[in-house]
Amino acid sequence: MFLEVKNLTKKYSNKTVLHSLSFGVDQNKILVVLGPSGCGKSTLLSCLNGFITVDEGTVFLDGQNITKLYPEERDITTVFQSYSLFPHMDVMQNLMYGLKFKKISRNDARKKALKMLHLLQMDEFSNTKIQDLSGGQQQRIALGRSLIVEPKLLLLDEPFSNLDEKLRLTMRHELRQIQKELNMTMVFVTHDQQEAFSIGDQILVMDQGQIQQIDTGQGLYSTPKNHFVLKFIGDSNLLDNGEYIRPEDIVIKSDSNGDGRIEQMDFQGSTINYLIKYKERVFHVTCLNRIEPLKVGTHVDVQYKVSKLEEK
Amino acid sequence: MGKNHLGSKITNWFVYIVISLSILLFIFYPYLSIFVQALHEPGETFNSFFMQNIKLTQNSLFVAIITMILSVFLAVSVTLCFAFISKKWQRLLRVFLLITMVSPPFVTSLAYITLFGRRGMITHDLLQMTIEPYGPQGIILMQTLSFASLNALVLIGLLKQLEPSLINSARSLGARTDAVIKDIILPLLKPGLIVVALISFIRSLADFQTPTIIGGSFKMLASEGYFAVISMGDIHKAALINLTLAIPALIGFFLYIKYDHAMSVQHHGLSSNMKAFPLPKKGFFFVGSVILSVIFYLALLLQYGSIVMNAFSVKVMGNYQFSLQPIIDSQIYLNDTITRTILYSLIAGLVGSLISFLIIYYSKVRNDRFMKFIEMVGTFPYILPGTFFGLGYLYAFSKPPLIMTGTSIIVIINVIFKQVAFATKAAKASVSQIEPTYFKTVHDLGGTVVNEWKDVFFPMTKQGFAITFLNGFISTMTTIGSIIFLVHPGQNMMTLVMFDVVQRGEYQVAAVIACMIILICLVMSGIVFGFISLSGKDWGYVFRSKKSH
Repeated sequence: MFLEVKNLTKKYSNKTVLHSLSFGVDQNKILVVLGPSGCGKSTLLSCLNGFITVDEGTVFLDGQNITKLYPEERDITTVFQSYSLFPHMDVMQNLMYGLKFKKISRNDARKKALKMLHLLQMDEFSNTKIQDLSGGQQQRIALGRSLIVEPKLLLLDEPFSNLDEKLRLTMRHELRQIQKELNMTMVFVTHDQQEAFSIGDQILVMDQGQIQQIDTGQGLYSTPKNHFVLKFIGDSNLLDNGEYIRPEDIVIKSDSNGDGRIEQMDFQGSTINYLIKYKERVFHVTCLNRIEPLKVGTHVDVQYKVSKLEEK
Repeated sequence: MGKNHLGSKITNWFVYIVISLSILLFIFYPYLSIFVQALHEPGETFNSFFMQNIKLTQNSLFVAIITMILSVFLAVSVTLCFAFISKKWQRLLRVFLLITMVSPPFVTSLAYITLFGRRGMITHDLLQMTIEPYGPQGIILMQTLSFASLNALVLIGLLKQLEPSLINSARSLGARTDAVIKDIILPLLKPGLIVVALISFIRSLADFQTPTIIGGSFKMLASEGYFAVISMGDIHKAALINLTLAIPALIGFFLYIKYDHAMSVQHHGLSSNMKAFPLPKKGFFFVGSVILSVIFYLALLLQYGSIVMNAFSVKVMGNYQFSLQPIIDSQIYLNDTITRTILYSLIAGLVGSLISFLIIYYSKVRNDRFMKFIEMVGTFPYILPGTFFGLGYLYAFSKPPLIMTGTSIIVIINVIFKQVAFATKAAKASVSQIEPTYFKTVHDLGGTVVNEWKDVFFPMTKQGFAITFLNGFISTMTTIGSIIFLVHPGQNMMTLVMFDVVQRGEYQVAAVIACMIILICLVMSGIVFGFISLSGKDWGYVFRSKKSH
């Protein structure tokens, strides 16, 4: 493994916030750390970039034990949630900042920065003040500033959470492209599962300082390991004995003799969510918006596929 | 729309007019009369005075510039040291710095004389030397030491507001301690550095006590202005001197406004909930700042140590012995001065804060343009030397239509309106944290302006009000410049008595008074902060800045 974390433990005055975490990330892959707020994901990130000291465990990067190194000594850069671009420097100065500490001439640094601007599709902004950039542009520069030093590992701490919905989608797409182009290994922290699905090669689901499951997005969704993952990832209709039905696994058809009845209809655009009553239980159903929406009170025929948790 | 609203409207207008008129009368008019009369009165003209006394200006500028450079340099060292030390140490050292804020301004000079003077504890008693401590070197040293504390407190405040992830970003990009300080911390503190430099410059120009006490034969504008009134009764000359002082002070002030604004714009902070961790303890800046800080704190320790020692000891056959004699000796100088000083300080703190908060209500909440002008007039005493303000009162209120000189009311009015400059700044900061919709809600639900004050404005700013009051109290307890010409025998204030006994060479009595002033200020701080922590618990949600995201 390129990044290898073993038994990582962090305590804050007797309260354990990370419980002996072990996981790895392959080179040129993106690991997304996903979890509700307060689950310890930012603490985990701070252990990786060195801004907090760990109580137990080791972190190896490319075979080197970096557990005790200062942040500035680690070959890791971080894109922070608040962008943290230096307000007293312009775009180019921000981009070139990390190169000051590499043995590289000013001229070469400039060339690299211009190349990075091009990659970020922001060629015309080289002399712009940081304050004059939009949120999305600031985020791009922050990303570029961290990428330009060619770190072995790039950490991203909820980098898109301050952007609006549309921009967020674009940025996810761009990040993946840049990652492929530069062959970068990344750890990306988020609480947004859509973001996790679209970015992550692997997703590490965390709760209360513990790893709940590490898998691909598809794997998490189709074979959740426990109740937490099941409830956290996607929606589901819980049955007994660890059985559940995903809302899209229920197919309903208008049928005056059907056992089901539409109780509520929630129009979402591309999909329609229904609440149906079927055999004395209430089920969430998600349908694609292909046919005329069914009205409340309509009787429906119900077909479904039951899934089962591997462990209860 | 009944009677109720009419009453509220009348109250509103009454308050508005009283505030505007009082600021114009007690701040604008005194300054105006000093300008008009100093330039038009028969006697020496401003030009001839200035040309003949160019040496005074040169001396003042020389001391002010060197003091400015040194005190900022020292303050930067003390501030940077905070980036390396833990929270616990930071708190301790901050308290130490704050004590200097509640001391009379010339306490440093008093300590200097008792330690290094002709009969000083260190130079004379310990080292058996008789050296000449008086002159510009003493003034610069003392001013540097006493201004560095305030400068450091301002800069430390700014350092704390720096977005921690900026520093973390730099480190994450490979910046070591020295690079973080050089590339990130110092450039971001730059507006603050300029502001404290200007404050030090203006304060040094205006300071007449230090040169009076330890200047020796070195003559400066501020001290000459003081002597002109006190020993020669030459008010005209004092006015000319103060006018000369006002020129660099005004230039400094315009620069100050510019950078003070830049400072508040830059440091709005994104305030993520992330903490900055102490920087690794290595590099040039670490070593340098720690060495200078240690020297600085030792000097403070020595200073306050000597004051306390002088207050509680007598010299018997060359040895110091614990004694309450200095306290007993001080009684004849004080009489009812202590009660009067506390009373005046309470009034100045309360009334000054009330006026300032109401000014800010109109200028900021109501966005009233005339009140913005009044607010600006209110800042004059902050810019111009305190003696200038006092002299203005002497000019303005010694003749019709308003004769007040010689009364105690003129002193009270003076200390009240001197507070307005700083209090409006504090009030502004406090008011800017209230969501404007609260005020709209009051009207939306049928309330009046009076309800705005009663139900929103004052309840929600009560912490800021308490702090502003405390500041007014302390600054009145330690003030000297603006009232020294106004106070008549029988109306004395503690700082004035202290200044008087220092000049008579009664250093131990002066030390007793210094300790008393510091103690009274500390007790009042304890009361105010106790009140804030008792009342403050439920108010977190009101303020914008505490909103988490």
